[in-house]
Amino acid sequence: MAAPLVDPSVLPQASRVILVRHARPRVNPARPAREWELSPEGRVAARRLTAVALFEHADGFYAGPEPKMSATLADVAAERGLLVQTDPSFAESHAEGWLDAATFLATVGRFITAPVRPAAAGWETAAEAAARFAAGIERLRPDHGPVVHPGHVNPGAFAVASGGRVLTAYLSWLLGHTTEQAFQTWRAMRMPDVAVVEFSPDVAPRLVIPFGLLASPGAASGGLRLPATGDAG
Amino acid sequence: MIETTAVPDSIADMPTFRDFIAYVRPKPDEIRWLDVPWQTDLWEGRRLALQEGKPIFLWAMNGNPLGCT
Amino acid sequence: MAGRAQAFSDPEVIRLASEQFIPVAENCSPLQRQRDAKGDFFRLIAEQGHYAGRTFPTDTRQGYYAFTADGTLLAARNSRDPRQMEEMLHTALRRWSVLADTDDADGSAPETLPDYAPARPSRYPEGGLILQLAARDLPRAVDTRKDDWRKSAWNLDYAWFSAEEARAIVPQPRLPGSRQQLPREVIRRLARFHLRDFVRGEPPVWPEEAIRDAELESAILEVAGDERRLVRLALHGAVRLEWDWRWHDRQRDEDRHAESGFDAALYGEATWDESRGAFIAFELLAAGPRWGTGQYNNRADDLGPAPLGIAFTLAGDEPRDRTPPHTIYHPDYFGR
Repeated sequence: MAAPLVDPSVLPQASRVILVRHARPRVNPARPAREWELSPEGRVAARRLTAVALFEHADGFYAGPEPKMSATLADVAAERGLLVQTDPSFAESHAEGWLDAATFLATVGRFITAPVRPAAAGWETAAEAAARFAAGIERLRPDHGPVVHPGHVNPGAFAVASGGRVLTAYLSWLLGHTTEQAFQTWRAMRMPDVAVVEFSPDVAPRLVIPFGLLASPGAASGGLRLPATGDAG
Repeated sequence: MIETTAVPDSIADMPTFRDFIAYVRPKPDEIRWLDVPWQTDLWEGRRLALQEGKPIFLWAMNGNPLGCT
Repeated sequence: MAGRAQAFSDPEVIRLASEQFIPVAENCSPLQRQRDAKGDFFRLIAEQGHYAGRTFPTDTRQGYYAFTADGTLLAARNSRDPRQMEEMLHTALRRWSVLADTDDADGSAPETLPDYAPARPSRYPEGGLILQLAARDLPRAVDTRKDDWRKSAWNLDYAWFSAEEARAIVPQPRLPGSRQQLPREVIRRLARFHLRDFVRGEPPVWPEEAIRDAELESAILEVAGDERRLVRLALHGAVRLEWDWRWHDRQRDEDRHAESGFDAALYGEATWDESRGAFIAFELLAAGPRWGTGQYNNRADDLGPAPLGIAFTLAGDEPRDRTPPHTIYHPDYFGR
C-alpha cells in the first residue's frame, strides 16, 4: 500500500454539525405537537432547503422522531442519495397539553430562564433536553470525521433536524450562553432555519453560523429590499 | 513577436516603446475574463442583485482577480 | 495568473456569468479577515462553501461562489477547469430556480440592505490619474526558463495618483520645451510600489532604502487644441532598485535571504487636457534587467539578469478599473 501523501496525524480533526429547526407544521390542537406533520408552506420550505449548498458538506442526516423534523430534511437528504435517520436524542423538549399562544410564550420564557426547573407541569427541563441532545451529537461525531481532498481538508459534517426549544437549550449549554443570549437564539429562529457549530480538539465549540443569519433560508432575496427613493434612513 | 533579444540601450531613441508596451500588455485571448462585467465591491454586488433579481457570482482570489495575483 | 485565463476560456462560462448573475471580483485575502459587515457577509458565504472550516494547509477561502443577496450559498468551487465552472454555474441557476419558484410566505417585514461602513474606506482618488500596469518578461537572448506557465507569465495591477499629483506631472509654464522632474512622491510611489517584479507573483514593496537611483522627467513636446488645451508630454528617466531581502520561510521553518534588483529605463508619452484637468492619454514603459529572487515572486529558478518590462497605460471607466493597487493598504502608499 502506498504511503499517504500527508501524515494523518497533522490533519485537523474538526467536525461540524448543521443544526436545522424544522419547517412550519400544520397546527392541530387536537393532536400532540409531536405528531404534527408539515403544513403545505412547510413542505415548500423543506423543498427550498435543497437549494442550500451548505448541505453538500453533510454525509449524514438525522432528525428527532417528530414527523415534521424528518420531513424537513427528507428532500435534502434524498438529493444526496441518503435517508434521514430518526433518533430519539433529537426529539423536541417534552411538553404536555395545549397552551394558548400567550401562555406558551410565557412557558418557553421560563424554560429558558430557569433551565433546571420544569417550565410547566409535564415539561422536560432545558437542562435535561440539552443533555439528551448533546449525548446524541457526541455519539454521532466519530462517524463523521474530517474529509480529505487533494490539497485541503474539510471538517466532517452531519445535519440534525429538531425543534426550537431543544436547539436553544443545547446551544445555550454548549456555548455557555447567558439567559439574554439564549433568548436571542430563540427569537432569531425561523421555520426552517439552520445553524452550524464546529468542534475542534482542545478548543471550545464555536458557533460558525447562528440561527437567523440566513434569514429565511431558501428565500431568493431573503426578504431584503432596497430603500425606495425618499425612504428615511 | 518583438524581433529583438535585448533591451535597447536607449529606449527613448526608438519609436518602438509602444511596441514594447503592446508586447507586455495582455492579448485579448489572455484576458477573456474581462469580458465579464465585473463589479469590484461585494456590497454593491448585493445591491445590484436585489435590484435586478439575480444571484451573485463572486470570484475571490488571494490577490485581486482583476489585478495582481 | 495562468488559471484566470483557463477558467474563463469557455464562452459559455462568460455568457452565464455576465447574463445570469451579478458578477463580482474581490481580493479574498483582506475580505476573509476584515472586521466589518462586508467581511462578515463574505465569511458567512465562505463557511457554506468548498473550503468551509479549512485550516490545513492554509485557511484560504479563495474560489468561486454563487449565492443569493441574503447570503444563501447556491454553489461553490475552486477549479480552473472551465467545464467544472460551467457545471457549478448551472447548478447555482438550478437552485436559484427552486428558490424563485416558491414564494416566501413567511410574511415578515422585508429588511433593507444595511448600510456598509467599511473598516478600511476606499482610497480611490476621484478625478485622479488611474493607471493599469502589466508586467511580463521581455524576450531574452538565451532562454533557460522551463517551458511551463512561468515562461509565458504576466500580471496586472493598478496605480493611483491624486488629481493634484497628476496635475503636477505637467511642467510649468505650459509651453513646448518646458521640463521638470516629476514630484518626488510620484517617482517614489512608482519605484517602490510599481516597479516590483510581479510577473509571477506578489512580491513585497521595495523598502525606501532599496531606491539607489530614481529620476523621471516630463518635457512638453507640443501644446495644441482649442485655446491651447492639449499638452503632449514625453516622460524619460531611470530607476535602479536593489535589496537584500530577508524573511522567514514558514513551511521550512527557516530564515532565508536573497538579493534582487531592477535597473529600469523609463520612457513614455502622455497627453494632458487642461480643460478637463486630466490626462486623456498615458503610456509609460519601464524596461531593463531584473535579477535575483525574493519572497513570493517565484524567481528561485530564474535568477537572471533577464529583461523585464512593465507597461503603464490609462485605465478605463469600467467598474473593474476601480480595482485597487495590490499594495494600496501599505501605510506608505500615499506618502509617509
